[in-house]
Amino acid sequence: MNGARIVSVAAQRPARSLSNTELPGDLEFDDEWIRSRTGIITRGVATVEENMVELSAAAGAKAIAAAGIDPSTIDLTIVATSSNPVTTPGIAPPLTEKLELTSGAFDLMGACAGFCYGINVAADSVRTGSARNVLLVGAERISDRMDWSDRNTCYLFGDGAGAVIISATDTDADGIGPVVWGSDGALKDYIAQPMDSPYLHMDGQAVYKWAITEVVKIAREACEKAGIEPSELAAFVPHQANLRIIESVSRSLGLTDATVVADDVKYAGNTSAASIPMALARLKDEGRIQSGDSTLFIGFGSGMTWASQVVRCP
Amino acid sequence: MTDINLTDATTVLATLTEVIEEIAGPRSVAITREAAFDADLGLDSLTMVEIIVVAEERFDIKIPDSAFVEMTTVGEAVDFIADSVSAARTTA
Repeated sequence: MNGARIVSVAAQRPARSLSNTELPGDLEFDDEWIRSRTGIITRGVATVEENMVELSAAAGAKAIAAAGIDPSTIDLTIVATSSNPVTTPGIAPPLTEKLELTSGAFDLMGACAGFCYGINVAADSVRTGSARNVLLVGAERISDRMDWSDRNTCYLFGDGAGAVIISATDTDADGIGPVVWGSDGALKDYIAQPMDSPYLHMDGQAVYKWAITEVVKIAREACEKAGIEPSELAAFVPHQANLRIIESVSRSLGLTDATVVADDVKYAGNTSAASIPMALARLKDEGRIQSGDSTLFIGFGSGMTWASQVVRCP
Repeated sequence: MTDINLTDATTVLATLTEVIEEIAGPRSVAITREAAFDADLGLDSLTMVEIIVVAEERFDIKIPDSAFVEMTTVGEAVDFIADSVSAARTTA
């Protein structure tokens, strides 16, 4: 069986980036209050023209170019998202049209954990020979479902897209570690869009407590399955929900300055399924990680659902 | 943890003080029973969640959200924890 690896990563950020004092709506926020509780300084808010397909296509085109592959060898396109404004078709089919691909195409709705679910689906597809190359995109326009009069959540989220190319390796050497994934459906109301509401609702305190308690256990299990100690990680790229969660989990894992910890949430807010590839792209673009670095992904969110794996950095 | 008397309010206060300073760092005012978490100790809601999580582990109890939101002072938390530890031992 082939191995699988991530060969490239790219992000597409909305042109418009709003500070904590520039949010739509009538609420006024103190910049320092938001920064101290979330780490967020700015977030991208997409314009009408920057729709899901456009954001996904821009990120996808950059990832394809960076991978240096012939687009006709992409056999599967997956879009991890919870932002599709219509029930059908998914974002993936019009994305393939935009990128002139003829691959299989489907959306994966795993909320903030969706990208890490997608990594495993894509990796298994290339390992088994179902696909030579997979384009995996995480894309969100959370602003479409944001209640700008909700003082508890409206400053947390942002829009954007990130994409990776996952390819088969010539040998059985694998650059994507075993997945740890799971769910606790009893907590389905923690983060949800109720049937009678156009907006996303979140019990922030409950989510925070769940995250700082459970995420570290999931992360440790993913490291154990990959045969690596957390302290040996070159990089930690968790879902960018809140810098306070990221810092708490990093402390609990015993990470030191030797591990680069992604902090894209400071500039992008919580971009749900897009947050991990966007955060990884920032680390690559800033030269803070190198190809081959052992990197821990962990996605978690609405459901509650989670998925985590150790990968080699593209 | 089991060989000290965690139902004793003084011991609970000392342990809770350790937890608070471990999570939030040294405070500029004394951590007394009368101190309010927010106004006196400057602990925001997320820091309080972290303190509760560690306190649950340290005292081997569960602190329900409904109880947590009603705790405004250190003394109220100490009393709740002491009662919970005592109840857990009685039923053990």
